[in-house]
Formats: sequence, structure tokens, C-alpha cells
Amino acid sequence: MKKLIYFSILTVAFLCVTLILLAPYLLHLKSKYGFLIYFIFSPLCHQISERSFHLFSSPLAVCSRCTGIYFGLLIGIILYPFFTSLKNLNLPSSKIFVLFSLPMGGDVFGNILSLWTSPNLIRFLTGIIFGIILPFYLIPGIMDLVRASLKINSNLMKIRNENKKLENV
Amino acid sequence: MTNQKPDIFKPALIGGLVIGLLSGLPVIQLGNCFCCLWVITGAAFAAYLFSRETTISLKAGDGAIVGMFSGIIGAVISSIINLPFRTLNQKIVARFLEKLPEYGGEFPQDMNLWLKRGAEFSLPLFMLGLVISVIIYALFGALGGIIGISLFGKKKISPETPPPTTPQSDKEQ
Repeated sequence: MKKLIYFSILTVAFLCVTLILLAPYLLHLKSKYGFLIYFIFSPLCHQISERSFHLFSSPLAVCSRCTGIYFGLLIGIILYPFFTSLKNLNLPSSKIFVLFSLPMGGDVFGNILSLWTSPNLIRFLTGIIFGIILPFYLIPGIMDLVRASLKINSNLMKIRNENKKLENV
Repeated sequence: MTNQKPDIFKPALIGGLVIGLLSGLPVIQLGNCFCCLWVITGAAFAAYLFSRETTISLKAGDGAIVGMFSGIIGAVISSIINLPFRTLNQKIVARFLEKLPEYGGEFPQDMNLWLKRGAEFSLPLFMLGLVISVIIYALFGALGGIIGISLFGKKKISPETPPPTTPQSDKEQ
């Protein structure tokens, strides 16, 4: 069950990264599905062309920072079993989250306050650092959630079976 | 503060209100363009309220569930708040349409009409948008809730903590 959940999360992350890379290619082929991918990602990202990497002379479906976050998420999910067991439901310390968020947070504030303007590569790299740590919170959370709901379901089944037995008696 | 698991409804509702207000109001809602910032913030706030009401260790799943519910509530509230601002949103859709030629290629005519229709009110499109919002907000809300439990939970979270045995109970055995 744990492996199934893990591979489901991995598949979703892989699909997101594929769609991000596929959008400019589909646009290059003049397919309307390319525009649909841009439209799907539009509530999640500003999609400013100058702040995005380009493929086939068109920007990716999300900006360079968001691309970094999605790539980081995928890398983090792949690395997850090498660092911890799928059975481990403990969350990493909050200090680790703050540490991994600092480069991106600092870069965002620096840009908002016009202290500096980061190149796309820096945006991408800080996004990757932030994205890598997310699966270490997301995977135990989803695993625990599924475990708890399965436990509730099995308890309900037990109660139903006991009620049926009592009715029969 | 109790030593039992608190009810998730109140923190999820307050978190959902925060998400709904921040994600529904024009201009402020643009914060969500940064990896669903308001959804994650609101869900983390809900997890904070949830953990504040108890002394027991909360698990990652508790954060996920409270965050997920606050995300769902937030999606509904923001969709309702968005309704009076549809004309403003129409401008955002227009900006999106203007921006597309920069990406290269020709914009399909049928899709152009479809997007323009999307800016006007229609119940099926509203429902479709609501369903998409609920899914996205629930996912990012769960993530925010887990991060919130990690940040504000403070207590060590373990999957199966055995009940502590006191010397007195050992003697009784």
C-alpha cells in the first residue's frame, strides 16, 4: 500500500514536469492543447515570459522559479526512499524547512524590494532547493492520512460485522 | 487546551476563511501565483490553531486533514467572493489573451471564444471552476497543513507511540 501511494505521488509529479516541458513543444506544433496547458497552470504562476526558460522559442508553462519547485519536488520524491523509510511517518524538524526555504524566500524579498534582480538560473536553483524538501513533508502526511482513513474504515467494518452478528443472535 | 485530539471543524473553518478572503479579493489573490501562497499560509494557520488547542502529539496526517478541509472551504469561499469581481477578472482573461501571441503561434479561434465566455457567468463553468479550485486548494492545503504541524506542533511526532508505563502500574502487574 505504501509503495502504491509513493508511486502515485511520483506519477503526479512526473506528469506535472512533463506538462510544463510539453507546453512549448505543443505550441510549436500549433496544437491547441499547448494553450490549454498554459491555461491550466495560469492560476498557479504569473507565467511572465522574461522570467521563464524557453524551449522551441516559447516559454515553459510556468516561470523559472516554479519550474525549479516542480523539478525539485520530483527530485525530492525520487531521493526520498534513499534518505528515509516509507514506513517512517515522522516529519523533519521545522528548522530544516526554514533552512531550505531561506534561499528562495530571501531571493523573492530581494526582488520585491528591488534590492536586486535575479537571473532565471538563480530563481530556478532557489526553487529547486525549496522543492526538494517538500516531499519529506508531503509523503509522510499523505501516508498517515491514508493509514488513518483505512483504520477508520476497518473499525467501521468491525462494528458493522458485530451488529450483524448481534442481529442474527 | 485539552489532552484529547481537538475538533478539526473550527480551525479548518477559520483557515478556510483566511484562504477564501485572500484568494478571492482582487489584486491580493495574485499572491496565489506564487505556488498557491495564500492556500499554504491559510492551511498552516489552521494547523497552528489546531495544535494550539491540545497538549498531545499531532501526526502529519492530522495536519494534512485540517489543511485539506481548510483548502476545500477556502475554495468555496473564494469562488463566491469572486462572483462580484467577474468584470475585473474579465480584464485578467483579456490580459491572458493579449499575452498569448508573445508565446508564438496562432491562438485557436474556438478557444478564444471559450475563454471569453468563461469570463461571463454561467453555472456549468462556475461549477467546473469550483471543482478545479477544490482539487488544487485541497492538495496545496494538505501540504500547508503538514508544514504547519511541523512548524507549530513542536512535539515529536511518531506513528505509533506506546502508552507510557509508570512504575506503579508495573508493580500492579
